[in-house]
This record gives sequence, structure tokens and C-alpha cells, in this order.
Amino acid sequence: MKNYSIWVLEYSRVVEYHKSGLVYAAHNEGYVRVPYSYVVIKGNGRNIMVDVGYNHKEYGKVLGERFNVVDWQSPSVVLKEVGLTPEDIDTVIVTHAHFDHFGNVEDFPNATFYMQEKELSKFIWAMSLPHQFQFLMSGIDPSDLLRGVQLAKEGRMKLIDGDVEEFLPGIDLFAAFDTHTYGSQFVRVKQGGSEEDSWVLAGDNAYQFENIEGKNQDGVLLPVGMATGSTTEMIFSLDKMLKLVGRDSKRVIPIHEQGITERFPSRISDKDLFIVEVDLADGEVSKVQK
Amino acid sequence: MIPLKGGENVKLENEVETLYQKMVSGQSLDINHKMIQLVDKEKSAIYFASLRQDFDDIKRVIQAVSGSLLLMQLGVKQDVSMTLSSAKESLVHTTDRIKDLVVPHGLKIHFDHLMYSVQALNKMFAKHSLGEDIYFMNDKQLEDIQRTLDLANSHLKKSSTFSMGLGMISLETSCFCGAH
Repeated sequence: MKNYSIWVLEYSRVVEYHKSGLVYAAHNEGYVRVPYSYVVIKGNGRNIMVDVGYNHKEYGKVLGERFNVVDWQSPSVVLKEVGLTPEDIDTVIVTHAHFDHFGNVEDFPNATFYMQEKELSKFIWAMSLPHQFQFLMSGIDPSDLLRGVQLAKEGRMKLIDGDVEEFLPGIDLFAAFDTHTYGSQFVRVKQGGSEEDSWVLAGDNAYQFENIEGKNQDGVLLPVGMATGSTTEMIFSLDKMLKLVGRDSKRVIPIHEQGITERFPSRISDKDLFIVEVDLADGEVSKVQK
Repeated sequence: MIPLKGGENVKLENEVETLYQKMVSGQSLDINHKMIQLVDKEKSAIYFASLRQDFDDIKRVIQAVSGSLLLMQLGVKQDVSMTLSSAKESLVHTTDRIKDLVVPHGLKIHFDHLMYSVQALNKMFAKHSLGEDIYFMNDKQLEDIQRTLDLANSHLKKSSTFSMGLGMISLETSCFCGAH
């Protein structure tokens, strides 16, 4: 029995991205195409998102010119591909506070946002450090913090302390402290409550298949190329993800991996963005096969 | 190499040179192309390069206070006094540095946005002591702080639309590290 449909929705992309930014120490291995995506989990009467992307209005020009980020589309355009609107989303699990994951909360007026407490508290601690430590507080937009204040006042932002099993029926949250960021988290979806039929949504603790499966699939775990945490913790966190899906690496979903379009049923929208159907709930109609 | 006043370091000179070359080659990130045609490119490059740390410090002050406010709203009992006092100290230094900055003709509007942001933050610190007492403030005081932060942030954002590397987020060190 399957309770949840899971789609990975591309909302923008970088055409050429340094491979070394994705896989630790992958020097001189050129560039790859990197999709920017979020995940929709639909089922049990809920519409859940894992991360919300960023708001192009504020950064579009700079990102486009400096980083070759192209084809950004708003959540209303992207979610329409799976028959949803931003207003339908009731729950958002924020894997970490970087602006490209937490930078568009205003587009989801009915959602409650869940983030690890450590993600916020450690970033704010980092802000007490002098200028030379600036690297440690990178990726956080003050505008997102200010919007967070408003969300908290409205009771729409909640903090989590560590792992939460059965956060929602069949959905577990796992903390990955001191990895990509101070308080990253990832998500496990258990179909029918079964651990055998489950999926892990990795957040940015795995950018590519290579992080999880090793170079040439040799099984050696590789940390991501960009982090403020420990490479050791990243490797143990990758191992934990694999354990949670019975060591079937194909059940760990890295959202920045272009290859997921080949591993799972997918299609390209008329905006040239991909929709990947990781799994379908019983009775749900496919959004990629017409 | 553009000559700088004595005492300026090599790093700054290199940065100025890079910005200057960007403007000369027409690759400027500034949205206000019309205006940039009118300003002295050398002076502008020096202005933006000199300003980078101040811009980052103002951003950090807003991040620190709004972050502390967020923790408070969420009921996290964390000692934020170091974060707030460090922010206050940064603001004092920035205010001091920025007042002596030479603003090239045509970029006054940019400088004004930055100054409005700094003024708003200074006013906020003058009105509220902003230490551990953040946890004991009433709703009215908190709303006042939030409003001021919003104002400071919106001015800072306006000044970042002139770009030249003055971004609201550190793209090179977040997930968008693909600059090349």
C-alpha cells in the first residue's frame, strides 16, 4: 500500500556548475548541469513540500548574470504541473536555511514551516563572531530571517530538536548536525508505514548520485563539496540515509542531480523544467505519463 | 593599476582594478547603466571596493538582530548578548568609517540608501538597549524593532541593486558556488 506520491520539481537550473562544488575534492573534473528543485509529498490528506526555493524577484539579475542561473519559474507555475497551487501546501519541511531552500516562504500563505532549532541557533551564534569568520554565516539572507520573525509571530514556524519519527504518519525527520550546515535535516517517507518501501529526501547532504554511490559506483561515500560542517559527519549522515532505505541507494533522492530524470519516470514542462515522479500513492494519477 | 591613497592594501587595489575592468568592458552588474555612464569609473570602482566591508557589516547587523528576534519569538532560550553586542560594535565602526567615504558624483543615491539603513539601525540601538532584555520586551517594543529592521533591510536591498558585488547573500559560499 502506498500512501504518498512524491515528485521532484525543478524550478530553475545552473547550466554549468563546478563539479568540485558538488563532490568533495573533485578537482579538475569540469562542469555539470545542476537543477534547482523542491519536493512535493502528497498523501494522507496533506500537501507537503521539502524546501521552497528562492524568490527570483530579488536575486534574478545577479544570479542570472553571475552564476548562469536560468529558467526560474514561480511556485504557482511549477506546482501546477502536479495539480497543486501554493495555497494548497500545508506543511513545509526546511532541510536547511540557505536562501535557495528557505528563500520563498511568502509564496505559501497556508503552510507551517519546520526547521531544526540548531540550524537557526548556530547561524545566529556565528553572527557573534568577528569579520574573519564570515564564511560560517554564509548563505543566509537577512530578508528570510525577517520573514521568519513574522511567520513565528503568526505561529507558522516551528523548530525541531533532533530526529522526529512519525512527524506525520509515515514521515520521519532526521537531523544531520554539523554537515552541509549546522542543523540540516533530511526526510524519510515510508509507504504504508513500511521501512522496506521507503524513500529518503536528502536535502543538500547529497547533491549527486556520486555522493551516495561513490565514483563509478564503487560504494565509497563522498561528502558534498560545499559545507560549513564536518566531512566525517557528512559521510556518516550519508551512511545513515542508506541504512534507512535498506542500503538501496536508488531510494535516496538528491534533488540537484540531473540523472534522477533518467532513473525515475519524468517529463519536461513547457517551461523546459523537469517533473520527476519518484513514487505514486494508490489511486493517484501519474503526472508524467499522459 | 589604479593608484590609491597611501595605506590602502594590495587586496583592495586588486579589487578596485577588477571592478574597474568590469565597468570599462561593459560587464558591470549595475542596473543603472545610464548613470554609470556618467560617473567616473575609477572613482566608482574605488567607492564600491571600499564599501564592501561596510555593506557586509550592515547586513550582519540586520541578520544578528533579526535572528535574535526570531529565536526569541520561537521561544529558544539562547544567550544572544554576544551576537547583539558584536552587532552593535560593528555598527559603531561602520558608522564611523562610512561618514568619511568619498562618494563619486552620480552615486549619491546609492550612498543615501546605505546611510538610511545605517541611520535606522543606529536609531534602533539608541532607543532600545538590545541586550539580554530582548527576552523581556513587550509586543510594542518588538514590533518597533521589527519595523525598523524591515526599513533598514529594504534600504540595504535597494543599495544592493547597484550590485558591483554588494549582494544580500554570499553566493560564493552558499549553494550557488558555481561562479566561474
